Amino acid sequence: MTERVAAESYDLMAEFDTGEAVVAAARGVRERGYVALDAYSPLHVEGLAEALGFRSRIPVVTFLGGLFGGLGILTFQIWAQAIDWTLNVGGRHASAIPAFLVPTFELTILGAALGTFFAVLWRSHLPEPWHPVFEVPAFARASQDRFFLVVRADDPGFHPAETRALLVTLGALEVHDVPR
Amino acid sequence: MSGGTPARVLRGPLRAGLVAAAVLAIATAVGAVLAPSAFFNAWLMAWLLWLGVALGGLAILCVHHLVHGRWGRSVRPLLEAVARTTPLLAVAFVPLALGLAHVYPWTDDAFMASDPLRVHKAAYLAATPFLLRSAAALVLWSVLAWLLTRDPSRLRPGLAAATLIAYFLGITTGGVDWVLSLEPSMSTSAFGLALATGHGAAGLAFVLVLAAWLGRRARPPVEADRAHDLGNVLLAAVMLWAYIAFTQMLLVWAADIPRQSGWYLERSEGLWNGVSWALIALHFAAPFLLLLFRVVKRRPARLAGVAALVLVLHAVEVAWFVLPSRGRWAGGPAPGFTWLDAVAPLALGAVFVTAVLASLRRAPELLPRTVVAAELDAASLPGPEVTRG
Amino acid sequence: MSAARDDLPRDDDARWVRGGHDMGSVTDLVAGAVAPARTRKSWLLMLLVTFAGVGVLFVSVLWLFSEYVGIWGIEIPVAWGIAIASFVWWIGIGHAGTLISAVLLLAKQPWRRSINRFAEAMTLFAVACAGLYPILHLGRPEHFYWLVPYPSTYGAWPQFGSPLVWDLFAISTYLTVSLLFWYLGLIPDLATMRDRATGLKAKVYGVFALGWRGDARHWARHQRGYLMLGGLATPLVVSVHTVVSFDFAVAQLPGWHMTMFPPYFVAGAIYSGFAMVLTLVIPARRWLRLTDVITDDHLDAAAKLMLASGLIVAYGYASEIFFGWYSGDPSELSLVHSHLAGHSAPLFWTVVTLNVGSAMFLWSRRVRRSVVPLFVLTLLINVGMWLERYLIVIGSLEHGFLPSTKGEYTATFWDWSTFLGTLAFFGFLMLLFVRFVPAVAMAELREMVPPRRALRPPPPPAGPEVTP
Repeated sequence: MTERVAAESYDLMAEFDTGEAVVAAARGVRERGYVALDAYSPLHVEGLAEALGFRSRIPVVTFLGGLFGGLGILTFQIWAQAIDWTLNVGGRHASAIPAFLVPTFELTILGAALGTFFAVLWRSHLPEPWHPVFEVPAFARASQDRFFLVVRADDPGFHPAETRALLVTLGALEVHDVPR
Repeated sequence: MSGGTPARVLRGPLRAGLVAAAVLAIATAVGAVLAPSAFFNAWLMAWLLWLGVALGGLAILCVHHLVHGRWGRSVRPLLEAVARTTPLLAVAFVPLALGLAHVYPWTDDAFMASDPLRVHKAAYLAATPFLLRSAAALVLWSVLAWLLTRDPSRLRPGLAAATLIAYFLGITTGGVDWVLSLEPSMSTSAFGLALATGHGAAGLAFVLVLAAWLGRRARPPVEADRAHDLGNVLLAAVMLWAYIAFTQMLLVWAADIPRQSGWYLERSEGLWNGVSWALIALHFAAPFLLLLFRVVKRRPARLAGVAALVLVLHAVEVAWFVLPSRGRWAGGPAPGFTWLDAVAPLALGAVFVTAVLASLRRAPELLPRTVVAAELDAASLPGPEVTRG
Repeated sequence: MSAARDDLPRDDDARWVRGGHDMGSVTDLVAGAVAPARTRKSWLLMLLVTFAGVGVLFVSVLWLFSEYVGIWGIEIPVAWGIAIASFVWWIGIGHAGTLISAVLLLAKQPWRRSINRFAEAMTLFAVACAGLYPILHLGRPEHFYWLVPYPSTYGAWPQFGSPLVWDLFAISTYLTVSLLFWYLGLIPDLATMRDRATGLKAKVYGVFALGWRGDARHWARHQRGYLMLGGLATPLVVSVHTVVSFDFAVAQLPGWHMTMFPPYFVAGAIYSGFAMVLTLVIPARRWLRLTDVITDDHLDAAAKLMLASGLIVAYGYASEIFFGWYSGDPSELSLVHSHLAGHSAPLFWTVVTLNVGSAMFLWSRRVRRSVVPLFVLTLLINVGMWLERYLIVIGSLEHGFLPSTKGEYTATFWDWSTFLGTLAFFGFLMLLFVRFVPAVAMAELREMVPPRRALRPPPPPAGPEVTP
């Protein structure tokens, strides 16, 4: 493969067989100043994203989604039943808050859930049917039992040979080239 | 911040508690002599308040025995100390038993004969069956609480299940007897659960306040992770309370049957309307929102602040149950608030807290460090971290 | 009475998987069981049988749209028949999946991982079956969209105080959130299926996997999002059967107006939901050869939760009788009498025997861990819970307040054909599910087993402390 394109345009993908190994390697390359890093695993590895310097802000979206859904339907119900078309149900107050709380609750949950779900996909740029890593045959095991750490070639400190050597010393079973 | 055995750490607080209990008890006793009727009515409130805390602690302890979460292990000695006060609360029922005629309208034959609904229950709501039912529940709970707390190193899931069953059955009939029968026409089947969920929240809240207070005096304090877990349990308890309270109210409001809606109407007039809103805002909304945030749950002191709010609102809820129903029959006590309504709960509270501290004094440690060895084992398994965040 | 030491860890993850599996072999096990190279004859046969049942449902619904609800045995005063009883039953079954997934996720119970996917699928299909009934029961089912608040030319809005409108909000929210929760958990497993398959299969799985590649940042968001959805689904699952109970309890009818109904319905839903999960899982784990990951320990744990919810159901029956009596209302009293020793007594005591009696066997650890007795109990409970809903819906409506509001109800052929049709529809969907979708959450199972170590001839210098 190396003959086809210049070596600089390859990302380096190190393969590991345990979660701890990939977390340790991720910490290792970061300590040495690398920033253009990705890691892949067949299960959620506690601390791996954090080792890459990442923190999820999904809960904020959840909260806002719920707020929007709940307040939206509550206001709408009050408007529809107390203002737009005043409805007298058994002499109760037209804005019958106890009754309105039921749809309000449901739509709070719905808004929060939809917000959460789509935020997870949107922030991760999914769906994304093709990605360079899929070109590496060994990567099929990233969804089964292998762990991968990618140092991208656009990293300022990237050097094909040195970076590869570093990944090997950090315990990589094998280092693959990823075409860009 | 000094360590030391529980006995040494607690010597000062215990002495202060004893003095406070003695002073307040004397004040209450003076009140009982001067105004017996006001005393008996105030005592009902005091007793219900602290019974709720004790039984809540007992129920949460049972849950810990059944599910064995790490959250429970970190405060287990405190839960046990609270549960051990059950016999004390059983004894505290005696003054109420002596003054039934001042408190409950069903002691008045003429009142009971004046309405067919009441005639139907006259045989059930009478002094002897009332006392038998109360005694049965209180004695059973005391025995079970004693058995359950006898050996703090063991887990007794079977016994805990039996205790929970006894608790739910007893609090259902007890809820009718002690609270709802203040207005004999009121009947609502969720009331036992409404009480139980409030008890759970109050018992846990008391333990959390106590843990934070002890954490400043004795090592080790509650760890952040465990505080987080406990905060989630408190959140669940507050949500359950709100769930039962809301659905019960909604169904009464929607069906609008006079014998039920009257009870809520009394609580939506004048001052009580404000108290109802305070319960919604401070027993549910505020703790709920605060407990969503990790920065609150992970600091034992902040968590204790929320817990203290829940505990105060438990007292408000007891007043909300009892006071609007007071003196709703000719010849009953004067409706409204007396100074004993404030002093009697404080007096019983001082006795209760002193008893909890006295029982803790014999514990080997106040806040056991959670089993670090077990957690290390789990973390050192081959492969990535097995626990979810 | 069992007694255990408090200082020992009880829920170490490793004990929930048998057979010395590692990350690679659990993947092989689940993926192999789900999409076998050859279609099994037994599966095809069951699919055909259930498909015939789906045909029955189709004809019943078609006939209903042509003739309306008159084809059912309903009449005034018994205007709700077994369609509504079945609706409540199906919704109840649809509770266990989300309960297992969401509540046990929040409670950090590792055993959920082996059965959550299966139970969630069951939830979706059961809710789909349940959702049919209120629509079919509308009288003019083609106008079901009138329940939705849309700006119609009449300028009128739905009545937001009506439990029927609440039902719409609750059930559609529940179906949506359950689907999102199920699918979000499924995405990594679909990626596994994609990576193991070739050709068209790989393309189809690939489309549904959305290009998931196990990126650590994606995982972090995925896990946060999954936990958030779990936190949302937990109160939601409680609210759904609560709203179903409101359908009855907002009325004044004796036997319906009980403030206890919401928690009592939720407990009943959990009870019947777990019964149905076990009814399906016990044969399925053998048929799919998944006994290594769905062990007797899982059955035991589920049975314990069944016991707890069964006890709450028993508490509900006792409260119903006690508060019916304590209310002093003459119509309530006569219903209590009817249940205990009158017209509805045979049914009432059957329900108590099936639901409370069966639960009592679950105190025994031996019963909880032996497959055949447990299976029989779950069947009895499924039947018992259906009868309980029959008693609540029809027993109360037959009774009423006045002699003139007393009536009788007999289900017609079309009542039964609709119910049996939904049973077949449910089975049909479950069969498709186990054939094409990983029935166990592989990505989550991997959290409980050791990694598959690579063979490395010369041990390389490993560990972060080594400097180049």
